Amino acid sequence: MAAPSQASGEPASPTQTPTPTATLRLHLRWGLWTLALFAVGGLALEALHALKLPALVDPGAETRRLLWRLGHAHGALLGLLNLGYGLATPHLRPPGGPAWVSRCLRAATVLLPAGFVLGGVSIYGGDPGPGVVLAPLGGLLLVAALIGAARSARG
Amino acid sequence: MSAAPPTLWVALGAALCVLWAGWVLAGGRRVFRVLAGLAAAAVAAFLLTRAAPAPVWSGSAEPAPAGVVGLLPGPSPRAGLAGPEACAACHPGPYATWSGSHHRTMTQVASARTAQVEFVGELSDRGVHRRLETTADGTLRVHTLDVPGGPSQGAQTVALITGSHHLQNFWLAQPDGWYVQLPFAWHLGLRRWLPVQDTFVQPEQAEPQPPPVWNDGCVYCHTVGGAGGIAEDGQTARTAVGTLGVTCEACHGDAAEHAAALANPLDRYRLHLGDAPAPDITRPQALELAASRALCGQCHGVFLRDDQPRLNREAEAFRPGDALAPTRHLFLPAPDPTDGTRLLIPPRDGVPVAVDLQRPDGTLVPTTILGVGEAGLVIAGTHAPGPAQLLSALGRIPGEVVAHTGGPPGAPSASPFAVPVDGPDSLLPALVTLLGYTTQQPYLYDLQVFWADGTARSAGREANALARTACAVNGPLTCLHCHAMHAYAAPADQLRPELAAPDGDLDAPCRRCHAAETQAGAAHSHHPTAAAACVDCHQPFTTFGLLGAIRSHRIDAPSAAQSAVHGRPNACNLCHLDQPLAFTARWLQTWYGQAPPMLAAEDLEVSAAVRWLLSGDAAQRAVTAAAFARPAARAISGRSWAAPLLAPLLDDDYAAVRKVAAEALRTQPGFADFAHDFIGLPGTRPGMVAEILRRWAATLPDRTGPAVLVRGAGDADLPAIEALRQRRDRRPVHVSE
Repeated sequence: MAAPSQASGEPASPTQTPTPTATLRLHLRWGLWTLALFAVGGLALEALHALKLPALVDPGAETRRLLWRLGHAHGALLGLLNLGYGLATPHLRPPGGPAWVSRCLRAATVLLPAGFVLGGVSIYGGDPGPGVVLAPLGGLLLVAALIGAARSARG
Repeated sequence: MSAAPPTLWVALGAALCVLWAGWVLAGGRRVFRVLAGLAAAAVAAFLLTRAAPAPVWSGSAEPAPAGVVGLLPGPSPRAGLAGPEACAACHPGPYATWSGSHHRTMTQVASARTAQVEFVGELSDRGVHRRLETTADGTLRVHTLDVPGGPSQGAQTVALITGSHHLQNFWLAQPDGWYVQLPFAWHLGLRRWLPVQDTFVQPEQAEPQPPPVWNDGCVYCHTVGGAGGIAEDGQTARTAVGTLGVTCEACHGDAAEHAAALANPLDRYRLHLGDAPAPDITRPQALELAASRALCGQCHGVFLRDDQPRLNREAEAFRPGDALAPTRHLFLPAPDPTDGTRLLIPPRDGVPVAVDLQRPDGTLVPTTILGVGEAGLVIAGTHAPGPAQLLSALGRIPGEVVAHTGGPPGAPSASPFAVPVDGPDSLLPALVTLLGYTTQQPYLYDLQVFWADGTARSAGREANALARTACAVNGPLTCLHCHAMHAYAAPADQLRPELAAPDGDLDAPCRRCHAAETQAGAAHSHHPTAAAACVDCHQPFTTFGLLGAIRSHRIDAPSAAQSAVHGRPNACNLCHLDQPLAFTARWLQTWYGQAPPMLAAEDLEVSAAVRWLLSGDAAQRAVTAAAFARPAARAISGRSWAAPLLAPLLDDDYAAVRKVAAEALRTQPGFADFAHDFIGLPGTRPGMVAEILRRWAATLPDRTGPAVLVRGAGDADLPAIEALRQRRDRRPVHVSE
């Protein structure tokens, strides 16, 4: 695979040190696209509520409602987190932050909301469907990313 | 891990967190601070997830007002109950539908929020005066007054409320542990207070009646895990319950083990992704037919019980999946082809039981063995139901009841035992005492919840009716063919959605076995398909309850013979209100080959409904009067001729009859605004009948002739009406519910 260029916004390979600008732009892009995606998801949820889709509003769908709400909320918040992290990267050490932190954060941005959303597709009463297994994975990656970011923000 | 109080686990978790915070504040090495923090969080999380489930006593979703807390029943001796909240986490859908049902609110903690009426004002009836009060914390209190508007002579607290569908009853906590019924009930449909004794079909009493108590009857079916806790001397009660209301475990069984077995999410996912059934829980839809019927029948029936002493100490022994027989015996009156109804009593300890009435000369009134095998024997010589017949029997046979076991009825017994009987009210209780059975309800009344052909005629006795239905006795019918506990159309009847009006397919449950008849439609019913579903002919409105008529849960074919011999109104004449019994007999013979019964001369000419309305007993009058208000009956039988016939019923001896008759009258042209209060003793409505006749004279009757006792406009055959009314069956009737 060809090494991504800085112009494309992709971070450098593990052996390369990403520039702060590239990481900033990468996370701004991730954040904005994530926000856009979950804004659409929010509209879709509102539409399903408006249409009183039984699969969403029936009393037995409480678990699905909860999971999709969690998926929507986590997705939107992770979008904001990507924006915040991107804006913070020039101040991290090394500048741009560790590459593994960026990867963990982006992986969490996918896995955490996806786990909630997929877990709500097929539910077992009060238990989520098997897709929810992605959510704790994403959660662990998010925790790792936050710890890594905190450590790289030391004076 | 053994269960410990949740507060203990929380305290342990909190202690760990405090230790960690102390370590941080003390400035320990960073790496150890982080490790200690993670360890504390992990241990706290583990402990909290292992916290014991909520205590069994869940009481109610509504918080109890402070004034009620110390007055509620104690926790049930049934240790396996988990309470509905424990079910909600894994079963939110069923929990939600149950929450919306009237089962949940069968008993609630009394408060201003659970009462569906503003609990203030004064109530008076038959010399009983009460003032209602709601305190600042929502506690409901009732003051006794000597006179209306007078000073309080003492106050009691309402601890419990039963009902939420038609009526709410209020139960006053007593110092000795009893809950005594407030003699006034709130009627949700009428939005008014009613004297409780006027909410049932029972003889009008000028004096207030002794109030019922909640502890010795209601508790068993209006709660889960209820135990009467009545002292041996009968003076005090330490009643205990698992949950108020009819909760999940009434149908699914004790759930604490089930919840514990599936507390680990890995165990739950093994279950979700596998084929194994859930452990330690009953799935009603998977029960065998008899067990499925017993599940609802545990409460929707009237029984003989022989375990009352145990029941007073312990909680109900019946569990979902059980047969009824180990804990209770359904009352199954069977039709007597010659002498009315006989009460069949199941064998006691495997020995047939016989009961005879003894004449003064020592001879025994003959008895008949009916249905040996299923039934034991018979309460004999009387023509139940109806205490008047018992009374007349007693008039001829005063003084003594003899019971003996093991021998044929009527035969002398080596060791008969006898008790004196001083009146109709003590006859059946005496018999029951002799037999060793006990019940929460007076037996005399229990008999009267049946028509003379053995069909239940009181709401809440559906199991007894079903036990006389061929579809259940010989076929696969269960309650769940028509009703659903979760996926129901509406809370009122909890019918399955596909049955619910207006587009419901009412024939769906019948079609499973009777495809040919349902497919034949009008060719089978001889009525337009849209006008006659299966239930219209096979489940007529001959059951009375909560001040209205509901469909019979004995499913059978219309029969003029049953009506002629036993007096149970049939579906044909409850719709064709203007036709005599002979009309029904003729068409049933023509269409279905039913042998016509021997009919009295009047049955050939006078409308059967008119006869039941004027000459029937209180149950017949109530059921028939209700039919006059039904649109389908009015459409086929005419709408403007019945006022002179309904008029006498508006001053009937029974409040329930007055109520349904007034509702029927208001469907007649010109009577929509007719003012009538069914509360108030008969004889206190002077001029009312004349006013009805005066109003009716302004309308043109759409049926005339000897069948309906109307000759023309404003010309009712009043002598004939009065003659029929004079022949009214005045036997006191108690249709206990």
